Parts: sequence; structure tokens; C-alpha cells
Amino acid sequence: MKKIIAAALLAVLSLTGCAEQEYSTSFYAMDTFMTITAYGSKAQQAATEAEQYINSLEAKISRTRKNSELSALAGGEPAELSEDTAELLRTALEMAEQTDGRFDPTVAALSDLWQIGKEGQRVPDSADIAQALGTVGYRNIRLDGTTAQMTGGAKLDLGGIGKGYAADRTVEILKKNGVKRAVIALGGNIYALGSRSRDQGWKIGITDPDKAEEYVATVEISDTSVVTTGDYERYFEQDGKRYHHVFDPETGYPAESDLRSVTVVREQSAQADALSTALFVMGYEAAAEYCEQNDIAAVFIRADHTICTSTALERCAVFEVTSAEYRYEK
Amino acid sequence: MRNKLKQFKIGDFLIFAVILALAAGIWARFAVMQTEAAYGEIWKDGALYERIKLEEGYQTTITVKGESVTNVIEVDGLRMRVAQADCHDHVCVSSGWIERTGQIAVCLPNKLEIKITGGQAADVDAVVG
Repeated sequence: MKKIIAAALLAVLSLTGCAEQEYSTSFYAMDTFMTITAYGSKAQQAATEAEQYINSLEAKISRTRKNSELSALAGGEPAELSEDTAELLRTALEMAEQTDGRFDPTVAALSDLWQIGKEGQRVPDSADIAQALGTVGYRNIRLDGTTAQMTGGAKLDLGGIGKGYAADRTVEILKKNGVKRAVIALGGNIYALGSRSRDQGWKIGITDPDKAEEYVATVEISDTSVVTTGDYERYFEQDGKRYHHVFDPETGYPAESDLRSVTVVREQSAQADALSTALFVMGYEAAAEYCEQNDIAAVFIRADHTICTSTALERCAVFEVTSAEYRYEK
Repeated sequence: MRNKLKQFKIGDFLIFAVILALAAGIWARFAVMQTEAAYGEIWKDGALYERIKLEEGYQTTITVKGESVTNVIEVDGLRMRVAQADCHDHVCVSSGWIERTGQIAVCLPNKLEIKITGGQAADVDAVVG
């Protein structure tokens, strides 16, 4: 008799267990809106730990907080970094080298000058641009173990790779807590852990460059990251021309590109973050070739309303164009 | 077999009935969740500011004053949007109308989000870019 009751109770419990525990937290950090949705018995603990980590990372790499690690580098003197920040800086340097400087964490002088998305946004004097440009160059960064130094007046901004790095560390924290499924959205930087179900990956929409609330294509993925860089996220218009926030480290101006956005699918989110920026700066021809040569999975949305994908994309995502206003060019 | 059946008392059947009812209830709850009404939610500084049931034909305007930025939110039937913002980038306003579950528009300077919850499940799990 007891066996039957026990069996029945098990049936009830397994029914509740069918719906895996879901926990979601949303917060503001690194100048953007973030949401972590995790599934599993320790989902809440994992997501909360990740949120705390992201807040602590932000404090370390903040350019505005006086006691941040980055502020200590501002004077051009050597400074000790924590292992975490040193690792982030090392990754940024590697990506700058790999992309021949198209991704460059020293474009801070340009962001500060142009003020895009802020009150002071306007097209600066060419003399001011030249002056700021003089300090840009990733070779101005010295890193030896955990000791770093900025030379040549260069200013460091790790915002362009920080969210990707934070996403990678978040995944580690979630996995450590036994979480196997999660959707991590740090601003537009997404990591999809596990799958939606046994036969479906997580479906991620790619924003329409002209309508922020719509998406024009989807990538179905598992255990990988998706990051987009576009000309519509932060910009201003002057005399009919759009000035967006993705600077060309060589010209000091927003990158002149035939691309509206580049989306990179890659396991390492920090790499995806840096690569999406670099590819956008390169423009379609150079970017497409770079992807083929380096086995990078990417989606290109072009100004002429066509969408192209790199060969490597097929291997890690199921891709679909969902908008009738865009044409898929294979 | 008959001997074993005789061991069952009314109490045992009652326990069975309760367990089955519990199981059915839990299953039903998840089945019903899919067809709940849609709500428009306004979040400010990480807390729920207001929750509006979305219905065809119902319209309203809500003004949210922050420390430095004021947002005006419009609800029109099953959709909502940030209609006005006095900040510098207007990212929230350019997001336009949201009407699908999971869609969010955010005003960073005012730490304000509007989102649609309940209703039909969204087609995508997240949006990038």
C-alpha cells in the first residue's frame, strides 16, 4: 500500500519537476540594461552571483569612478591590475593584434571628443580630431603579468569588449552552480547556454537597423554567444549625415561602411564582441574575406537591404531571414 | 489479487483522489499559463511602477518623472510605447510600439523599461543588436 502512495507522490513530484525552475533578474550595469534568465534548481543563486560579479567588474573598469583600476592608469604611470582586469586587457590586446587594430581599446580619446549620444555631440574640429587620433593605438598599451601602463597619452576604454568578457565569466558562474540552460542578455551582447529544448536551440532575433522593436532575421543556436555592432545604437545626425559610435581607429571619424550591422556568432563572447566591431569597421568586402580566412561565423546587414552570411555560420546556427524587406544573398 | 484489493479502505482512495487532483491542478496551471491576458508593465529603478491590462480599444497615457528625465508612455489597445523623452539619445522613443510578449523598450537615463508580459509566447528568446 505504502508503495502505491509513494509511486503516486513521485508521479506528482515529477510533474512539477517537468517545468524546470526558471529565475530571471534584470539590472543596469556597464551603461546598459541586462537580463539573466537561468534554469535549474540553483538558478536564483547562480544568477544572483553573476549579477554581483558583473557589478564588481564594472567598478574595476569604470572610466568615471575615481577608485577604479582604469582610473589608476590615467596618468601614464604603471599600475597593478587585478587578475580579472588583467585578463580582460590581455584579451582586448589579442583582439586588437588579430584584427590589425580595427578593434582598438584606445579609441577612448575619440569617444570623449565626439560625445556621441551625449549632450556635447557634434562634429568636432579636424584639428581636435587629429590631436585625439594621435593618442590612439593599441601599441601604446604595455601589459606585463598584472602590471599595465598607458603610453603616448593613450586612453583606455574596455567597454567595447567588457560586456562580452562579462558574459563569458557569467557562463562560468552559472555552470559552476549546475545551471545547464540560460539566456544571458547584457545589453545587446547575448549568450545562449544549452538549448531551448531537446530538439530546439535558442532563437535569437537580429534587430532591424531601422526599427529597433523589430527583427529581420533569426539565428537558432546552442551553447554560444551572439553579438551585434550596428550604426543605429548610438548616433546623431548633422547636415543630413549620420555620425554613429563605431570609430575607425585610422581616421578618427565614425567608420564609413556599407554595413548597417554585423552579427558574430562565437563561443567566446569577448571575441565575438571585439570581432563584430572590427568587421563593421572593415566594410563588407574586407570583412567577408576576413571571416572566410579566419573561420568566423557572421551575419552582415548591408545598406542596400541585403543580408549575407559567412560560410562558418552554417556550422553553428540555423539562420533564417524573417523580413520581406530584406533579401538574403547567398 | 482479490485479497489485496480488499486491503484498500476508503481512506486510501481518498488519498489517491487528493494526489490525482494535485497532479491535475499542477498540469492545468501550466496549460492555462499560455493563454493569460497580456499586460503592459512599466519598471522604474528596478521596481514595478505600473501594470496595465492590455485590451483592444483601451487607451491611456502615463508620465514618469525621474531625477533628470521625464518619459511619457502611451498605451493603445494591445500595444505600448515611450512617446516622449527629454533625454539626449531618444533610444526608447525610436524603439517605437511594442506589442509582443518579451519585447522591451528601455530609457537608460531614466532607468525605465516598458515591456509586454503574459499573452502569447514570443517567437524568439532574445533579440541582439
